[in-house]
Amino acid sequence: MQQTAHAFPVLKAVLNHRTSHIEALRELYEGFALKNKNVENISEEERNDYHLYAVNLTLEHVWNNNPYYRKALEDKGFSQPRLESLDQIDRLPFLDKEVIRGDKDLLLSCDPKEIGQIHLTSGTTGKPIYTAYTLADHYIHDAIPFYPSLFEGDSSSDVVGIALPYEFAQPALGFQRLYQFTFGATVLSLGKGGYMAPVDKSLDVLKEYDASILITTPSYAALLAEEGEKLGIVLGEDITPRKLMLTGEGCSPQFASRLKELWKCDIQHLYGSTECGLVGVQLNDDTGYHVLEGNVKVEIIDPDSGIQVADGEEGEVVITTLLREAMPFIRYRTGDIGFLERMEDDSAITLSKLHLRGRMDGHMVVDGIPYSPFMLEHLLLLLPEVGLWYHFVLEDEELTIEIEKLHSDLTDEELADKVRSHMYRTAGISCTVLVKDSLPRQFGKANRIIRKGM
Amino acid sequence: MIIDGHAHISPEAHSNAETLIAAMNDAEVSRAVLIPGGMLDVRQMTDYVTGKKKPETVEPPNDFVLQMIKENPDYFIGFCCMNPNEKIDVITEKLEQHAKDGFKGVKMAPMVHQFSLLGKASKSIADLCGQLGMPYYTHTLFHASASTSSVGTLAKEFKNTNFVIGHMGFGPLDVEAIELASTLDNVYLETSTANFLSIKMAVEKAGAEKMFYGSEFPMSDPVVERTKIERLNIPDGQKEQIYSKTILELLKA
Repeated sequence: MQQTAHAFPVLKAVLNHRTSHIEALRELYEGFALKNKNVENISEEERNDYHLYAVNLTLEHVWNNNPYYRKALEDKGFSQPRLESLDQIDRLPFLDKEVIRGDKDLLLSCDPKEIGQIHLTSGTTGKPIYTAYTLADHYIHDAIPFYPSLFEGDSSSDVVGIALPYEFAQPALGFQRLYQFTFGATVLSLGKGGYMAPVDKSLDVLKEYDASILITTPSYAALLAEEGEKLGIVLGEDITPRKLMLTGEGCSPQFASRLKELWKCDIQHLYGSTECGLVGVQLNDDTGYHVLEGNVKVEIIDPDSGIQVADGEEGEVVITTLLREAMPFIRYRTGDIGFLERMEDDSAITLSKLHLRGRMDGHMVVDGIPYSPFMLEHLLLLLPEVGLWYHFVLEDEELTIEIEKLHSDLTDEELADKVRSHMYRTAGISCTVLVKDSLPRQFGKANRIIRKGM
Repeated sequence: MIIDGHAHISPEAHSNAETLIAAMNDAEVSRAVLIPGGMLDVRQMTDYVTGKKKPETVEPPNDFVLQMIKENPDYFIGFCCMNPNEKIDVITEKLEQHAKDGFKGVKMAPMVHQFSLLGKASKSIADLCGQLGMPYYTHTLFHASASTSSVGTLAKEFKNTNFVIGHMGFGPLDVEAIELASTLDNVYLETSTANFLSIKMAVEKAGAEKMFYGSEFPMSDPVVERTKIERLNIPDGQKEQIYSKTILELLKA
């Protein structure tokens, strides 16, 4: 093994990795296993004990290895990196996006030589956020918790098409690792319409290898379906995934329902980020995401006061990563809005559920009233004559909805009138509707809202 | 004197001047504020609410109301209905002309014109109403863009304009409408088709001086709607306020 490890630096780095603080968590998982439990079905008390232990391990790690976190904790009155109870988590400082933008070293908590992977966010709203991982973070730590219900079935025989961007971003490589190394599946690294992976080739490969799972964004799933139809590929016959896993951007239930009809398979939604990795997984047709509470601790806070809100109350999603050596994120304010639903201890899955309600900066104000774009999308797509490509064009608080007509005998004027009336009756929103022959397809993160004059 | 503050009129037999005058006489109502009718056929009202039917027309028949006022000056006063989906300069020009023609108030129709009370056009109408001394009357709906709350927002922005929440607001008992009338000087309540308890609570909280009687003819009836006011256990002076004084003060403003 030593000889083999020497010959393969990656293997050496992974197998002979120096013991990190995270290794101490293995004992807890072994303890769960002895009780025939896993992190999916432990009691609330066991989970809180686990979270307290894991957070304290992380605090000690950053205290000893990262000056930024050390100072932030000391400024909050900590003389040692320890919480006596999980209730004290609100004593820990928040981590804001703007603090870490463009600074690749601020949160680094390991020797730079230990870094095995860098990811960064797209930087569409400013400088990118850099994240760093040791190889152990990726190939050992992340795989310590086991979620047999959330990723049910034996995936060793799955052929998984990953149609997500491989450049810079975390999700594609993250799912590649998960399915290759943890589940032993075959992976088709499709990317997202890049130079080497045009859409038609991706569809050919999915068909050729009879892909059983496709992981992609909602908008790219729509684009693949659309292009497949043009190429004469019949979804459900030529390409027959058992499920479509959606991540990377949000979509309304109606958008997902349309994709389910197009792809003729189940849909599973995943929530995560480049900064924090995979955070939540939706199960079957349930609403909400079961939080991967072995990997992260999620809180919901009042975005103005910073105080934790009660379960069931909406607020900003705050995440603490528990299994990171290179770059832990502690009380990271995501800007996402949602609420937590606690499960009873006798539930089959006791992992908390996170229900998302959009982003803090994501609402559109029309005539002085804020609207959720996902709510509007959902209502818009209730009309079967409206295609999956649309824009909300906002100018001076007036809304114009641009749509494409889908399989309808209505004239453009009739359809526009129908949509306008429908949106007023259902959403109470006054708008102009324009029916376009064609709207641009987006290969990047779908941006449906066009804000003019800003 | 009793003035019906809200009666729709159209050439149709069930809602024409002759039918209305007969109903007014039955109720001992001496004058009525006419609202352009016929954009919705009230005999199928729920179909419009559910979206099953579209409005018969979106063009308000203001000319017909004007004709009725000229033919029956002793009976009728007129409110014009404005379409806020037109360009603002067109709206302004039309409203100024309506004021010159003798219309005494504006009636907005969110269900017909599907607009936002807080949109630019609505605000320009509210502003001009204040300048012209015409009350701005509107129905309110369930959703945010035409809600009772939106009327409150308008009233706070346009303090020189008097706003009337039709039918005492939205739904069976709109406490927000009553609250607005009780706290904002320039918000009033019109009583037609409202539940009796709503009217009773409004008298107690907002006062008779913030309310006026209406019939919502032809959907309802002047006698039927009068009964609600008669049932109130309030002094005759307050009933008189509701029956005529409030609307006369609004029309003189």
